[in-house]
Amino acid sequence: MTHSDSAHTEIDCQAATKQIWDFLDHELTPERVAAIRAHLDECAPCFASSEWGREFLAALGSCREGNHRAPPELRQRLADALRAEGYCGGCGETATAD
Amino acid sequence: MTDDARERPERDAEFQASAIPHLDDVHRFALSLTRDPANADDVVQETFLRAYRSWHTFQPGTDARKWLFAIARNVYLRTLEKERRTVELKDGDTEALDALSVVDTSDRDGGADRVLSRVDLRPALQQALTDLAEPYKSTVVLVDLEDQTYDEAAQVLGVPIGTVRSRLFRGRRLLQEQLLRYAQDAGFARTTG
Repeated sequence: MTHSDSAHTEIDCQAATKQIWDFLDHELTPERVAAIRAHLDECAPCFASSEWGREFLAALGSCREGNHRAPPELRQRLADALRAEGYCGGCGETATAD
Repeated sequence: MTDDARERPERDAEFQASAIPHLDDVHRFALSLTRDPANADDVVQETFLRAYRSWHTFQPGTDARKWLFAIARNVYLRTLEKERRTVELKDGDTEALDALSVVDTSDRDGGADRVLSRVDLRPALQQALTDLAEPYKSTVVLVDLEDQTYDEAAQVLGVPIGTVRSRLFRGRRLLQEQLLRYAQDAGFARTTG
């Protein structure tokens, strides 16, 4: 499958599609990133697919709760459970945990 | 005084300095996996208890957070055994590698490619994550919510990177399929077929 007829594209659509998640996840070498970018610059359908993937990952990432803190009740419960095992430290269950 | 009694204060100090600071991250990870606060608390407590009991095996200088994530994931999987919410999986399944998404981004009239920007998908995504079966959920959560690299996720999951890659792609595809159904039900995307 080839969306672009450009002779300058180093990889075809199939190769680009197979590596697009790796590309979006920053898991490729600089050389492969450059090859994918070059293909996306010249192939509108693959570019659209990559943008969909990018938006999907952004939406998925938005499900992550920022600055998450374990609830105080859990800290206290964990501290009690660990102390029952002999642990003599804390779990940040007091106000000084900040 | 026994050797254990002499060593315990030092061990506890190490545990408090190296493991406890990751409590927030482990709790967030457990919440992402269980999607249930009570279950997440149970997973977290069991995770830290196991880590404490095995703390003598921990190598100073290694990544305690990664180890805690691995324990948490195993604890979570045990809770799933009762529910049987795992799926049979052939590692190396590359079906999903051949297609980026289930959406035809060339289908401008159908509008499926605009779903992400037109609809607040967070509730649908939360539900899709809740419904996502193992081992896909752990992989998606580690990479997409916890920002772990493929290599880091592979270490937590105890599988090769290629397995992380195939599970991740399959998991994302399953999420996209569910999102598309949601969008179609809501009238934001055209039903195909």
